Amino acid sequence: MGGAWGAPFSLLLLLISYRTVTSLDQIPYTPQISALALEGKVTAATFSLEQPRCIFSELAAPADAVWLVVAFSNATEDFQNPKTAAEIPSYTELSSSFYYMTLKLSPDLYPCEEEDIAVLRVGSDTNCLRNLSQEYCNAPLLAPGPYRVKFLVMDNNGQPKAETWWSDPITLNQGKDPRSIDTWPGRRSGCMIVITSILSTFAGLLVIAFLIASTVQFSSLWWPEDPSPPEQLHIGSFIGKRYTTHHIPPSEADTLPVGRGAHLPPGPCPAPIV
Amino acid sequence: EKGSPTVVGLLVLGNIIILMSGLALFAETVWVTADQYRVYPLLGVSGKDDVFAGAWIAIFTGFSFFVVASFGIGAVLCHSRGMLLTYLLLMLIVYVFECASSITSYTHRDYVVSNPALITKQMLTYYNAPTSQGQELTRFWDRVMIEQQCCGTSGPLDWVNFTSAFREATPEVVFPWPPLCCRRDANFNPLNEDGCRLGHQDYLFTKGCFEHIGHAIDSYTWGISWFGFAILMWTLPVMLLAMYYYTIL
Repeated sequence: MGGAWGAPFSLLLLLISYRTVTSLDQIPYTPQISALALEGKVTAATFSLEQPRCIFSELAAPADAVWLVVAFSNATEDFQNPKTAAEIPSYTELSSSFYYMTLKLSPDLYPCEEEDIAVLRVGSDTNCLRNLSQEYCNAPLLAPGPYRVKFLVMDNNGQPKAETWWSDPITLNQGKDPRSIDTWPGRRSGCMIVITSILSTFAGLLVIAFLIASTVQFSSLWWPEDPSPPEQLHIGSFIGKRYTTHHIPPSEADTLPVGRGAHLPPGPCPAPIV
Repeated sequence: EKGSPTVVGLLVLGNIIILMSGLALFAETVWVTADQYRVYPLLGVSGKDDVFAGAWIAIFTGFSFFVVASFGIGAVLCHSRGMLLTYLLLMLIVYVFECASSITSYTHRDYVVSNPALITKQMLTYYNAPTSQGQELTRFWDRVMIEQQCCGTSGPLDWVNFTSAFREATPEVVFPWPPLCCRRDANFNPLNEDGCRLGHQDYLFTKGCFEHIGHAIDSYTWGISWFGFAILMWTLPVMLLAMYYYTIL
């Protein structure tokens, strides 16, 4: 009797245990990029996630491991939770299967206490590049993505226990070529136009004014004016020229007018030239 | 010869002001060429260094204003047409040179600091580049980043948003931006290297250096262009009056 019930009973037990194993606990949490004001949150080869604090406390025992699954956005449907430790995809499989698992950490590292700077940086380990067959490698990412991540809790036998939701797509920041920067200053600035136009106008004005002034001045040289009439003396009613001769006695020589025009007082200036 | 005393008085006064301003321009542009902010490497590498060429011309014209204006005072007081003609001719030449200095200085300043693009491109291309120009600019940026506590042109993200000669030398996971951008203690050790790598503002300078560089070059340009412009604005009526005086002399 026991034997007859034995086979279907054990089959039932097997079925029940299979279902409990495959029905993972869903943790209602979406991984996201850190909300802190960090300049290097998303760079060309790394990105920094918010640490999943206080969400594993009920479901995970200290002996378990919390893994981060990183996959390309179009490969998330292809990803199946690994059922044994050997099936865990390492970093080298990223280029072939388009997903991998990394950052194996204990749930104790995500306590409920608040901490100032709590981030999880994906891609920060350059040392494991030399030995890529390590169990998990958090090497820098080579492609710009977009990536989606989720957390997976596995017990020490390698059986998955719980998982979070997939995150939103994260695209890495590929640097642009600096030769693409356009250095043309664009519109001329207002100040430069003011300076140039005003100064050019003034310089031109001065040159024209100078030419006019010199023309006015030198035209008087080219066109000689009428010579001024000679000095005339009134001697009684006779109006005539006065000649100086050698027969003038010296006493009268002093009364003769000397030269034409006004004196210039003796000074440092050079003789007037016209 | 006659000479209206009002005009003579005005001309003497005008020329005194020109000679004093010329001397001030001379002294001020000597300061500019001394380059206290030491930004010449930036301009020299970009080829747009005529801000300093304008300063050199203004040294010459500033002193010339002084000399020619003094001569002009003598010419006016001597009521001499010949001296006045010489004065006008020399003053015209100096005027044109000063115009050139003012315009050139401002135009080249526009090329370099009207927006951060030229300086950013130059920094990304030359910082940590192995050429001699690269070494000179690396020294410049290192000094500015330490003294002014700034990083990059607009901020540390310049190094993330663009590839650069620095990125070729240093992979991003080692340091996404130059290590001199990290805040350091009195012994010049970084306060927190991982915090600096992540980019937390307590451990990294997040201010850009463009403000300082722009201020330095603007100071030089204002001293050459606008000061020269002001002197020329004053010189114009004085020269027109001198030309009028020449015709009535």
